[in-house]
Order: sequence, then structure tokens, then C-alpha cells
Amino acid sequence: MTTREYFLPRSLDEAVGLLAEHGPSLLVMSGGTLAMPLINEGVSMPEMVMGLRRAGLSYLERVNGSLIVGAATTLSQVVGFEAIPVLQEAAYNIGGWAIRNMGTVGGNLFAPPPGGDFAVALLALDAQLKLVSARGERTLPLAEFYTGFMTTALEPDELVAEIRVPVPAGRTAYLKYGRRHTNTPAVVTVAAHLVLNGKKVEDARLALNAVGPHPIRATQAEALLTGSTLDEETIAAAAAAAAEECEPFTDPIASAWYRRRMVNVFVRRALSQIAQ
Amino acid sequence: MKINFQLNGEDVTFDVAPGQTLLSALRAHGLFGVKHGCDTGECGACAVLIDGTPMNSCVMLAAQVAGRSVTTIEGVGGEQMRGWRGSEPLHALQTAFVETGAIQCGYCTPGMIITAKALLDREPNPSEEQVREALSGVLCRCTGYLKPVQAVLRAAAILRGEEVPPISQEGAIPAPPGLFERPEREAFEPPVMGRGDGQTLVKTTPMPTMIVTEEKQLRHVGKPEPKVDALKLVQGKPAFTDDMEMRGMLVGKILHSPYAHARIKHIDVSKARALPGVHAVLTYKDIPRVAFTTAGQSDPEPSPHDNFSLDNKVRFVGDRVAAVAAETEEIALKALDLIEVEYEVLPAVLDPRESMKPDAPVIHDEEDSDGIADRERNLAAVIEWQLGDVEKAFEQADHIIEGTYYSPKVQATPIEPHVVVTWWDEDDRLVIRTSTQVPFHARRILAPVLGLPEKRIRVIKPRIGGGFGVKQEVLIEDICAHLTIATGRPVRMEYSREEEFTAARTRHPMYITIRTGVMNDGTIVANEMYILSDTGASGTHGMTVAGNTGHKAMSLYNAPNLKFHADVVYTNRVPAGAYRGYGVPQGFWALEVHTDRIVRELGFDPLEFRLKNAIKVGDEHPVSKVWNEGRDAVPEIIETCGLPECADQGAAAIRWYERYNNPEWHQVPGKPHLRRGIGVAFVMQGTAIPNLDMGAASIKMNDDGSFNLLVGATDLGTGSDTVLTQMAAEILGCPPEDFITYSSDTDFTPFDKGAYASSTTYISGRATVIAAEKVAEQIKEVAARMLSAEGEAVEPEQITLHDRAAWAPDGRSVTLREVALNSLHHEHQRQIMAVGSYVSPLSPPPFAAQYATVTVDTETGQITVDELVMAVEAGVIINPVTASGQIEGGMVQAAGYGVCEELAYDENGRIVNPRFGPYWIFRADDVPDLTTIFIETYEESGPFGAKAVAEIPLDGAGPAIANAVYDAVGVRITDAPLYPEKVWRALQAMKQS
Ligand SMILES: Cc1cc2nc3c(=O)[nH]c(=O)nc-3n(C[C@H](O)[C@H](O)[C@H](O)COP(=O)(O)OP(=O)(O)OC[C@H]3O[C@@H](n4cnc5c(N)ncnc54)[C@H](O)[C@@H]3O)c2cc1C
Ligand code: FES
Ligand code: FES
Repeated sequence: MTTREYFLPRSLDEAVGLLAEHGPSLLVMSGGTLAMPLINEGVSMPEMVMGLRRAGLSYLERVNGSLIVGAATTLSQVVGFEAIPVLQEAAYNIGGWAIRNMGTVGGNLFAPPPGGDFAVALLALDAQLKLVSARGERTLPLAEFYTGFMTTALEPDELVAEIRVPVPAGRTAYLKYGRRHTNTPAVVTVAAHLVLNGKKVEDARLALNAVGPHPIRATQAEALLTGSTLDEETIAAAAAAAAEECEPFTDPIASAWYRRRMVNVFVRRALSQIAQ
Repeated sequence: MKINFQLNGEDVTFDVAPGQTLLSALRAHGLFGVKHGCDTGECGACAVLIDGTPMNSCVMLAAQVAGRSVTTIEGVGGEQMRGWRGSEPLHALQTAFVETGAIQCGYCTPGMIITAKALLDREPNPSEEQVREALSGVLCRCTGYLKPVQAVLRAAAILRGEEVPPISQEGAIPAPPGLFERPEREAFEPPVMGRGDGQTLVKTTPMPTMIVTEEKQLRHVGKPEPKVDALKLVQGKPAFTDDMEMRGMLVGKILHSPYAHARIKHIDVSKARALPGVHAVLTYKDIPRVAFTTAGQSDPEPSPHDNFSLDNKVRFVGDRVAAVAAETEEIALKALDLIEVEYEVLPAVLDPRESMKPDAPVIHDEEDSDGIADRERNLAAVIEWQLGDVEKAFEQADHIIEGTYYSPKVQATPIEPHVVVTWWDEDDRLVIRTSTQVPFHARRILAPVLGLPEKRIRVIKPRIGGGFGVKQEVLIEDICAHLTIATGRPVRMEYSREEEFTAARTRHPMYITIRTGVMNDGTIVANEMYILSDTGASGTHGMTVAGNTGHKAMSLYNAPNLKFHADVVYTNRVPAGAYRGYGVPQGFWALEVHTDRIVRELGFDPLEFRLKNAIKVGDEHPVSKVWNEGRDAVPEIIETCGLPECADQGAAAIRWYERYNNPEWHQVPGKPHLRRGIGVAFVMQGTAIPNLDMGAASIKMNDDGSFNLLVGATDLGTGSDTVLTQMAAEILGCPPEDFITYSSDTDFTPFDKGAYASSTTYISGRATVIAAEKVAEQIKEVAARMLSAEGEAVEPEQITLHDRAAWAPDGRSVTLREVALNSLHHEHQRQIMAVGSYVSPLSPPPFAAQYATVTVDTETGQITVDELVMAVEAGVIINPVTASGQIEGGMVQAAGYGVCEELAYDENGRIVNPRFGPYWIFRADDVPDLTTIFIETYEESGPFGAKAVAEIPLDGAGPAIANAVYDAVGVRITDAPLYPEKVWRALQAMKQS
């Protein structure tokens, strides 16, 4: 409540200009569903706030085999846009209706675990981020965006402007396991994308959420899958590998011990779903 | 900054702070229909439509709505009863919410309706699943969502232009033939007092389609009358404590302890006081030190006086350190930050099993607290009693089965947090407007704490947004009043959701050990119960809750030899207090899981075994002989008990005989990792505290033949105002709408001990009936005189009241309006008016059979509760809609402690899940299928034959679910809740062995 000023830039240029001008005392607010609870609870006390709603960053488009998503696109917009079903499903699995009407795709990249249930799907689909600052723009694979718990490769003067998601070439699965069925903090979320030739796995992307400092790729399980036949044995081995390599934590939702075991179960279920 | 936007169709300009939330801005501009239930986007009470789309206004800056359109509940329907301007129509959703009983406290209603409106604007023909999904972000703690969902579906039908059947006739299910046929001759002739013949009648209905009992020949009692306060609530009218403004009102905030146990060595508030806009900073040094209990109970309170408004010692994380009153919330919070405290951190006790150990730190070492059983051993209270000879019976028993069961620390979570406004009125009397269940106790308890006589305190209880016991506590009224005394200004204080979890009250967690002696033929010959109850840092309700555990759980299976011992111990955790069920859910969690073990281990039929041992009509209530809240015990006889019928009706509804012991049903086709299970629990509660609970009502007749019904009873959303009005209406022969029902205000309404112990319908109801009967008598006198003057002489006793008139046997009548005008203006003038009060020598228990089915995922341990069926015998049901609403909402709360609710602590005594996300209460999309069955009996001692329904639904769902899980997968969990992780560990352990 100590906020002195609120900005509502009308373009991306204006937005990055404000960011360059005010630096870290300016809080970027997209949907606000992560930022506002922290402000209300007195955890965060930004001097200035910049809303992204008018900055021209809410859009979904299909361009040359990719889906282009503006960072300020709401989760509800994604649910209603039929291009990549696994993304619709991921978005639908976040919050209740009101939260999805507010929360955005860009904001979800910054959700601390067990949040990040949309980002994990983006990770499995090899999404690329367009990062923009007053200095210019660059593109970064999402896999390289995360650097640690609540830290990213984003420079202080940069905004995430856009996310490019290649339309998946193979089959996908998305499973979120929480203590309740929907609208729930995750015990573990699994997003998988497998390119198959018959039963043979040509390429595998397996991403996990809520079992690491941020959404992570299960690279050893991916390596194990690639080139193998997708049968029960491979699936079991990949699930075990993923459970082994993840870095779960304990919170009021679940213990690290349980999370690791559930990674095994849900990776197996996700891969079996693809195999069917 | 100024923002322009469209509000409910009109262009407006608001002046807002850049960091102000939309919720705060709307309420500051008088849109009180937008509610506050959390600060984190997790409850949906604050939902509004932005450009037609639901969003949570608490996690949105007001600045963000510039140029957009905002719709709040105030903009949904037309204005009502505006004199010669006439009423405009309400929105179909509003009408449907009123008719179906979808409103209990009404605090979640604006969020529900706004969200549902957005859904129906998009999808005129939604499926039930779609409705549930849409409402899933709006939490309701009262209803169990059944009726709100029905309301939305009904509104959708109305909006599509379809005809909807009236509520009273929807889907009535006749009593099944044979079993429960009520002999014709007995049409509501009460069974003879002393030995009822156990005859019962059945009304089996899934709500909101509960049928009325035409046999009763009653006009208003037994009917699904809409709640008397529903219209204002459905429009979001400013009815709640916080829905007001006053000039110069300050905001009060509390500095809470970060330590579980510490002494305040040094506290410096000078910087906080110096902050501009701060009007008072109080510490223990500034106010009188008075020991009191926050437990709202009758005088003398049986709870220890171990609480101080502010103290130099803190006893749990969240305990009070200091309080601030400032011009804005922001300044108040800043002031809290500026208070410098030096603590001497003391070792803490976080596990009740450690509390009594010799080396445990003493939590209440202060000398001036009073009523503590043994402070050196952290023992707040001890209870002990015995009937018969347990040890001897165990020697003779064929089998002895023993087990220990744990019920968790859960919070009531009313969606409206604790909130209070205090001010000095023009007579220099202190007014306390508060969200309380106990206005009269609050006044009496606060008087010495504030140093004011009762006559200089006025407590007003407006509409309450749910309480469930946690508001049977004088929780923050004292500190808010201290701030008003300190500043001379009105002060408003409201808990945040986090404070509600960390610094209010919880259910008493209990370790309960039961030892049962059983004969080969299935007779229970002895029961022994030991309770270790964790009352947290204060003994509030500690003794009475544990006493109640034994009073109910030890009475159901009426063994000749009973022994009970309870140790109520202090720990350095947030105090436990009253929570709906009051110890009984803990008792039945233990008893009914234990009974399932007995049945399984000894090979009995679960229903037969229970019925064989259960208490029956004509039995003496065993524990009534030895226990009454620590006061004199007076033996009671069970006059009405429909438990066998409850068992049968519930079993039929859940198809028990097709499913139990049927291996095929336990499988889920195509899903080998899923297993189904079915479970049962029998329960009983009480109805008021005998020889203690007193309620009163006054009725005054007005010129037009309408009545003021003033009751001290505190409707906290349960519908008690409605039920009391129905009773008065029945007797006075006019519809409920002719009553101006008001509860409660210590200046205007007669005394009532408040809303607790399932007593309002029974005690306050009886008081209302007495008052109404006196008024009826006065009306009849006047009417007889009037009718006699015009023709044949009529005696008052010959007159009957109905259809807003007084009728002579020959069919002549005078209207109630004529009677009123005559009495007030024409002849023998006097005010027709009476007071009734009532205290009961009895506490007739309601009974119920609770059934549950579950599906267990054996690979994860996750439990889905599929169905909850509760068959309840609670005497005559005064209002089937409000009564079934109690059962539905109560079962869902009970399922909460069964499967998902528990406050989680870290090693420093901090609660790590003080939010609605990680503290899971059920939502519209994950509640089980709910079925309520009422088996009516006629309880002679109750008004119109009624007993209580308010608390009993809390007792059975937990153990029935746990027993269903055992039935499904063979693991026996004895410590609730049945988290997936816990079930999974047990499954792994079972596999290994
Ligand atoms: C009740 C509730 C339930 C929820 N459930 C879930 C859930 O199940 N799963 C889940 O993953 N999350 C959940 N969330 C968290 C949150 O709603 C979502 O993660 C959402 O996607 C966050 O988006 P936002 O736009 O609201 O974030 P904001 O609050 O607007 O943003 C958070 C932060 O991210 C940064 N940021 C945002 N956008 C940009 C950008 N374009 N460029 C640079 N920085 C940016 C800013 O620092 C900002 O402060 C829930 C939240 C609530 C309140
Ligand atoms: S969601 Fe806004 S008050 Fe709870
Ligand atoms: S009626 Fe929903 S919270 Fe009370």
C-alpha cells in the first residue's frame, strides 16, 4: 500500500522505457494474481507499479507452425484458443475461473513452485521467449530462462514480450496431481512431448513441476526414452529415472519423499497415456 | 489519482490511491456487497465482473479498472420495496437463491451470484458440472454448495423461459412402504412423555425438494419458508458488521508474536506513536491487567481465566504483543513495523504429549490467572467419572479391544473473518458492533476487562458471515474497545485470513484412547476412554469441550460400565476453542473408527452390532447422571430415538446391502489402481445444555397487525431468525412476512445465551412459542370483546387465529389489524406484547447414521469422497430447507477434517499453511454427492416437537470416510485427516508386511 504511482503504458516501447527509467523500484504487474497477494500481505511493498494490460501484449496467433502468445495473454484466453490442446489443458488446470481471467501466461513463468503449471507445459514444448528492453530484443529458449529458485535470466530492464511455441510434432500428455482434482497447488505436474515412429521414440521432452526450484526437464529420463521402444519396461525405467533426478521439496502440500514417489507414478501415467 | 470507469451501468469517477485494491475502493464508495474473505485471491468473496468477466477485486488495483466496466452485486437486480416508486424485479439468480435456501449466512452470496451471472450470460443451458466449475473459485463454508448449485440451475431454467416447480412440491419422495409407516391414529399426537413408543415417520428427500408434512395441519412450521433475511443478503445490502462508515473511524491492528513462547523484556513504541496518523499504541503497560476467559459461556464461566488483553508474556506464534489505532490501514501497519520489541525466548511445548512432563516449561506461570487445574503441569482441566465397575467388566469380557485415535487441529474458517467496530455513543456508552455468537456473554465478560459496568456497554450483533463456534469467543472486541477508550474515536478491527488461522481459535486436537470389552454375542459390557486434549495457549472451552466428548461418545453404546478421564493440557499453539460439534466430532472420530475395528476383528455385522448396543427410547442417558458441564448432573431419559430407522433409511439410500461385502462393486472397471469402499458411523449430539441455557424472546403487536419479534438468539447464518419467526407465525396466525424479526442487540432484545450447543431452535424456539402464546391470549381477549360486542358472545378460549384474523367458532372474524387498532387506539387501550423465556431441564439428543463411499487410488493414496448420506432423527423439522442446509454444510465440514484439513506447524510453532490454498476446504467442484434424510419423531419437550440439527452433521463423516477407506483398501488410519501421503505410506507398509 506504499505505492506512489501506477503506470499503464500504451505500448511495449513505452513499457520498456518506463522500466529503463525507474529500474527495480517499478514492479511489473501482468495479471497481478501473484504480485497482489504479496502486496496485500505486506511481503512486497513496491514504490511504483506498471500494468501491462494496455501494452499490446495480449494476443494469440498461429504463425508458420508456431503459436505466438503475447506475455499478457490471460490463461482464460488460452483455454478458449484451440491450437495446442495440451496448452489449453495446462491453462485450465490453474486456479478457478476468476484467477484464469486475471492470471497471464507471462506471469506464470515467474510463479514460484509449486506454481508454474503453465510454464511446465511450455518447457515440454520447447517454447522460446522473446525478451525486450529499451536496448533491443533477444530470444531465449525457456529451458535457459530459469537460473535458480526465483531467479531467471531476465535482465532488470527487460520484459518478457512474447512466447513462441512450436506446434508439437508428436504426442503430448499433461497431468497435474494435487490433493484435490483441480484448482490446487501441485504435488507434481508432468508435461510430456514424444515424437514417435511407430513404437520407437525419436525425440522426448519430459518436463516436471513442483519437484525442483522451477519447472525442470527430466533430461536423464528423456535420454533413456530417446531411441527406445515405448513399452512398459521403457516407461517404468524412464519414470524411475525422472523420480531419481528431480529435486523435490517439502511444503504443506506434500513432503519431498512423497513428491519423488509421485513423480514416478505420474511420469509413468503420462507416458502410458502417450503410448496408448 | 482519479479513475473513470463504468460502475453498474453508470459512469463514475473514483479518487483512489495508486496502491489501493479495487475491493477497498469499492467498499470505500459504499459498495458493501463486495465482501472481504482473504487477501490472496483464494476465496472469491470479492468477485466482481470486469467487462462482464469475473475477477477477484482483492488482487486487483483499482487503477487497473480505468476505462472498463465494473458490475457488483448492487448492479445485478432491481431495487426492492421503494415505496411509491415500487419494486423492480430481482435477477432470476437472486430469486432462485432465496427460494432454494442457497443462502445461509449470505456472505459468499454476492460472489456466487456475480460469478453465476457471468456463466449464464455466456451459457444459458449449463450442465451441473459447468456450474460447479464456474463456482469453484467462490468458497462457501455454510451450504456444502448443493443449494447454490441448484439455485443456479433453477435460475438458468427461469431465464430460458421454462416453468420451474415450486420448491415445496419438487420431487417429494414418499415414505417407503412397510417399515416406517406411521399409524394413522397417531397423526402428530406426541408419544406419551416418559416412555415414547419409538414410533417414527419418514420424510426422505434430497434437497431442495424436501416435502412438507401435510398431516401436521400446520401452516408455517414444517414448511420450506424462505429465510427472513434472504432478500437483503441476496442484494448485497449493508447488513454485516463491517458494512458501515463513521466519521473519524480509525483502523485497529495487532502486532503478533513471532515466537511460540517468550517474555517481552523490553518494548519501545515511541517511534510508532510518533508516526503521523497514529492515534494510539497500546502495550501491556498501558491498560489494566484483568484475567478473563474469551469463552462465551454462562456465568460463572467454567473456563479458566487465563487470558489478558495484553500481557508481558507471549504464549504462541500469533499471540498479542501490542495494538495500534491509526487513520489508515497502511499507517497502522507501518506503526506495527516501528514497534521495537526485545524478547526473552523461552522453551516451548508444541506437542500435547510433552505438556505434563516434569521438565516442560510452565506456560501459565503468572499468578493472577484463575481456575487452572494444575499450572505446574500445564494442566488446564481434568475430568474424571465412572459408572459401574469397568475393571471387573474387562475381566469378564470375552474380548478387549483397545486403540488410540487422533483428531487434528482444524479451523472453522467462516468466510467472514472476525470483525468489530467500537465507538462511544452520545451518552458516553461504549457501543460494540461485532460479529459474535454471544452478544450478551460478550457484554458481561468485557465489563470488568474494560472497567465499565454492563449498563455502559451495548453490544450489537448485525448479520454474521458464519461462525461455527469460533465466534463464541470474545476474541478481538476487548482490544478494539481498548483502542476506542484510548483514542475516544470509533475503531474498526478486522482479522485478515492469515490472522484467522494463526490468532483465532481452532478445534481441540485430541488423542483419544478407547478400551472396549465385548462379549461373544456382540454385547459391549465396558467402555473406557482417555482423552488428551490440546487446548493450546489458553484453556478457553477446554474443560467443557472434553466433557462433551465423553458425554456424547460414551453414551451412544450404552454399556453398563463406563470410565472416563480427560486431561486438558496447554501447549504453545494457537488456542483451541469452540467449534461446531464441541468435542463430539473428536469423540466419534475415535469411537466409530474403533467400532469398525471391533466389528472387523470380531466378525460382526457393522449395522447390527451398532444397533444392538446403541441407546434406545426409554433408556437412561448414562452420562447425564455424572456430567453436566461441570455443574450438577441431572439424569435424563431418552424419549425419542430414531436410530434404527436412520440406519435403514441411510442404508437404502446408499445401497449398503448391494455394496458392502460385494467384491465386484469395490472394483472400478478398467482402472485396476482404483478401489471403492463404503463405510458407516452412528452418532448422537445434544440439544442445549440442560438447566443452564436460557433464551428469551419478546413480541410486540403493531397498528397494522404486524409484529416485532425481538430475540436475543444470534442467527449466524443458520436460519434461526426464520425458524423462530415460523413458530411465532404459526401461533399468531399470520405469515412470516408480517414479522419484523430482529436479533440481537443487548439494548433492545431480551437475553439469550447465544448461538451454541445446538440450542436455538429448541431453547429460543420454546421461548418464542411462550411469548407468542401470551400474545395470542391477549389478542383473543380483545377479539372476543370485539366479536361479542357485535353479536353472540364469544369466549377468548373459543377463538382461533389464522389468515391474519381472529375467528369465532361461528365463522365471524376480526382482522389482526382491527384487533391492533382497537387495542392501541379505541378501547381498553394497552400494548399487546409479551416476553417469553425458557430453560430446559432436558437435552434430548438427535441421532444420525452417516454413510460414505470413497474411491481410493492405490498408486497415490488419494481419496475421493464420492457420496455422503446422512439420515438424521431430530424430532420435527421446522424448516426442511434450512435444516437440510445445516446437514449438507455440516457434512462437508466434517469431510474436511476427515480427508484434507489440518493446520500444519513447523518446528518453531509457526503455522505454515495459513491460507485457503494450502489449507483446503471443500469447493463446489470437489464436494461429494450429498443426501440428507430426515426421520421425524415428536420430541415432547421441544417446540412443535423439534430437537436440534446444527451440530450433529459434524460428527459422522470423518469416521465413515475412514471406515470406507478401510473397506476399500484394508488400511486403518487412526489419525485424521487421511491425506493421500498418509494413506499411501500405510498402503506401502501393508504391502511390505
Ligand atoms: C487462488 C489462486 C490459485 C492459483 N493456482 C495456481 C496454480 O494452480 N498453478 C499455478 O501455476 N499458479 C497458480 N496461481 C498463481 C498465478 O495465478 C498464476 O501463476 C498466474 O499465471 C500468474 O500470472 P499473473 O499475470 O497474474 O502474474 P503477476 O502477478 O502479474 O506477475 C508476477 C510477477 O511476474 C513478473 N512478470 C509478470 N509478467 C511479466 C513480463 N511480461 N515480463 C517480465 N516480468 C513479468 C513480475 O515480476 C510480476 O510481479 C494461483 C493464484 C491464485 C491467487
Ligand atoms: S478472493 Fe478476494 S477476498 Fe478472498
Ligand atoms: S452461505 Fe456461503 S459462506 Fe455462508
